[in-house]
Amino acid sequence: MTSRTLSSAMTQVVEVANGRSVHFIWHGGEPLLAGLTFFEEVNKHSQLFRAKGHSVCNSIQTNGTLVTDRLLDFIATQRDFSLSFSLDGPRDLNDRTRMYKDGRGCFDDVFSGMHKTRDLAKHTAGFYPGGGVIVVVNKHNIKQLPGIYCFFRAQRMGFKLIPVIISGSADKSLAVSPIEFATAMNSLFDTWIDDTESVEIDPFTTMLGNLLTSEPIGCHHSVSCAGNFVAIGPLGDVYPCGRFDGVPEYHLGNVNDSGGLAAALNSSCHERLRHRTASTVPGCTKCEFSAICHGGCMHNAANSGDLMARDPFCSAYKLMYAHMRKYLLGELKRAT
Amino acid sequence: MNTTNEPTADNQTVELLGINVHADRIANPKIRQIIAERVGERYLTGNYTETYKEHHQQYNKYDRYDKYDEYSKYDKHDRSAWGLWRETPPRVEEAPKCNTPQ
Repeated sequence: MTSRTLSSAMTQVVEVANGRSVHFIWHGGEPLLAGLTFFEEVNKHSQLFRAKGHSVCNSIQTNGTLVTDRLLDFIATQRDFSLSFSLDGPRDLNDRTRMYKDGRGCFDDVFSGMHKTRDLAKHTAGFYPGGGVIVVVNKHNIKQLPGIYCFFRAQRMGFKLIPVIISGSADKSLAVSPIEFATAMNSLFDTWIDDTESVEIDPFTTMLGNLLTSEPIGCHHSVSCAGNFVAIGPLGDVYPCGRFDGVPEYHLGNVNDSGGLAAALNSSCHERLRHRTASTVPGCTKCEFSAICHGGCMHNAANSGDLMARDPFCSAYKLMYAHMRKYLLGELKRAT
Repeated sequence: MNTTNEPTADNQTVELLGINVHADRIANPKIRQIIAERVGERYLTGNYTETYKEHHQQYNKYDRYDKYDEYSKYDKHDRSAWGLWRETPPRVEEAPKCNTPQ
């Protein structure tokens, strides 16, 4: 991303947010390949926005292999950017799916970066430099979720579990079915919910909160993620979210075009996305969980052939919500 | 987040999933934490997080996985060694009586 595009993109996002808080999530590929200079520039823009009264924060979703002491020093000094890592469990599980080009697993490098980031928190009172983890659930690790929990529990590390999404040239043999995912997740829920250790597992905490409040949060289950998320690629191309990046059908515009981001968000394609809600997705209106699910992830739906259809993981969400609700009802009845 | 021992909630109930409950009587600290964050801290007494910490201190001694190089044992873990909140007295027994609205 050139300096011009970076400046233009960040400025336009803050303008479009119109006073709302802005959270820039720097994704890749691997975002740290952009180099420290890039993030220094991001920080410079962010400071200018903050000086004008805008609420702006930054985070980086990284594979963790390029976390250096210099980067951590920069984060600690500027008190900007939190790091979130991708790790698929302990070494033997992670290194089956996350490896360097020469076949070496990346576990040791990632784990070292995660611990350095967590150690940083000891010196940055009031600022959280991150250290959270995303675990992609795939065919190799789905039967090991209790072990993965045990591993992160020992580190006192919260983590987020997401099912692998097969798109592009991804290895189809890694896919897990919605029923497989829900069965494994419900079993893990039973282990986690009764454990005194407070390690947070997303989506459990998010989904329990959604059940308790009927006000869903999170990009998968919010009323319409299109109203809150937008992705901007390295050339300034605008897409509804990072998962659509590079898909021509969902190219909304470019921040360097005359209308910029505002025009992209007013495009007919984006309007169509904003209207994908539980009331427009076939089958959702009769679902008992539609008010806290809203048809699931639109990219998952598009990836399986029809943007306006249900998320193919719908059956998994239903099983998980039903399982959690049963547990909650038991707890709540005992507390009347 | 209020973590003092001063009560911050009265005896008000909150409707969750169609059931009127006293949030302080919910035994599971994870559920209480989610209620505090997503529904409102006002439904809980101020020391709900402290009680959670006490549980940790009580059970951390049983944690056999506190060294990361021991993670290879993960598939042999003995979950009976973990602290389960159900093994402790229900939270309602410990909760202070809070009759004075803030």
